[in-house]
Amino acid sequence: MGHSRRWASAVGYRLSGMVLLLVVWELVAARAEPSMSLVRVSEAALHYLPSEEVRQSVLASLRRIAVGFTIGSAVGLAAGFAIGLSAGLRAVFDPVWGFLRPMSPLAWVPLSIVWFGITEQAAIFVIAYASFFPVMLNTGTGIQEVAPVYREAALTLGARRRDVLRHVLVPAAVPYLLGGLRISLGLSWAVIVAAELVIGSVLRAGIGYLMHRYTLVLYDLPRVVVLVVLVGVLAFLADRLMRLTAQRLTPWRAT
Amino acid sequence: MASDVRGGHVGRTRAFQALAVVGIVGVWAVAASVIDNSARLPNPLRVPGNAWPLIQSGELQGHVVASLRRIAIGYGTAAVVGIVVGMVMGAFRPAERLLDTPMEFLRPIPALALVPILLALVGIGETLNISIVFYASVFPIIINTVAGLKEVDRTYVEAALTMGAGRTAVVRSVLLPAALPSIMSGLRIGFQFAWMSIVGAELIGAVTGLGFMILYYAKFVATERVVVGMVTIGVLGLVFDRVLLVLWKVMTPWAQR
Repeated sequence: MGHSRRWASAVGYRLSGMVLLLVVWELVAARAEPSMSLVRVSEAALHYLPSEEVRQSVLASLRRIAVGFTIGSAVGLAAGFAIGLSAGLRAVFDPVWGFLRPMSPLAWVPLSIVWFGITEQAAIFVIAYASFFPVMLNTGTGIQEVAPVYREAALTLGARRRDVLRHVLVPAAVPYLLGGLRISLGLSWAVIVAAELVIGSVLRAGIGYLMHRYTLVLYDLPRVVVLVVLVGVLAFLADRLMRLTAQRLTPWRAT
Repeated sequence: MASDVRGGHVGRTRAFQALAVVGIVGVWAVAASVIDNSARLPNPLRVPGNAWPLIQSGELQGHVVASLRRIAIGYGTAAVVGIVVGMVMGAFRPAERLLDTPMEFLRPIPALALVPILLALVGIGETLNISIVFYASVFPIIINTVAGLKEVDRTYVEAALTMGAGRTAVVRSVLLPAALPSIMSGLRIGFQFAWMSIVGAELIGAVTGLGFMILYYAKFVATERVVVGMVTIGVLGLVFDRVLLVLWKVMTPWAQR
């Protein structure tokens, strides 16, 4: 099979896959809710996506993610180094993580609202919390995985402890850290939408807030569908960006 | 994670860890007693006292059953659908190539973003929560099933065919067992996603369930009751994860290192 033919068949499958999705959507919409038909949704996308309201809400959600994600992963990074380096700390906190980790970060939304009120800080707190664990655990694993030989070799060659940290441990932990960041970022999207939906009308902006508004207040379903797809696209792009960054920063790793 | 915690000192480590947990809860209790404002910091010492009436009235059990029922139906369906779709995609290359694009499109959409659409379509109730659980858990199950099937050594399949096995026999006796470790880990990840999303879905679209319960008591600033709910969520999540892990080990002993 020639190169161009293989390419054509790949494109053909992609197109058919997309058509399949759209046809299924149209059939379901026709039966369940005619206002969600493709025509209505595309109309809404055309008029609504370029609006100032959407722009501001995307920026508001991105900002909340950026703040919460930065705080959570910075603390997670520091904690990851600490547990990676100290077996004692690891032993102390293992049961704590073991218990907290399988618990949904969204279970913190109610307490967060008690602490911060019905504000965007409540959403930011939950994002920071959700970002913390993947970064901490991955970084900790990364530090632990460094073969002791490397450490000892560096020390034998006369490196000081500080040098070992900078030139051996940190580079070794970077791929793991990036893996943790990628998981955290994915979680952040789920958290921001849910938190904004719960906190709702007080926020004045945010993708989850708009969903809340167009479902419960204005009842404009085509716009809600547009927003849902928008979240998917943004989450996808953020993940790609993260992966590209990881590839550039750690070219020696395949993914 | 626990590599150097193992070895000959398991008993001592366990004791040490128990002590550490007591210490951490102790520090929390002292801090909460000093602050003495449960809106700021719920007091762990008052958590059992708040749990008791919830248990006695059966309220807590009712919420647990409501959440577990949604998980059982939503996640159970996702497991069946996910494994079947994953097997079809893993066994037939055209199916995989056809479904790849729709999956890549749908997967990044967080399950909870579908809550508003479902609210409009079916309203608050079981269908909404079960659908969210299904959506959240089905993709990792499909993806891991496909990955498991692709890793199966082709010589096994060809050997079975050469020795006269039919298609169904190959699927049942060669493909399925070989893919099982990967399928099981997909089921485990799927459960984690399901458990995470049910709490979120219940915060918004339910009047029962643990997610509803914690938001309900948060509105009354009854933070110790919120903690009761959170601990229940944590313990159940942990128990189910362990059960799946044990199942994974028992069912695929050859995949253990």
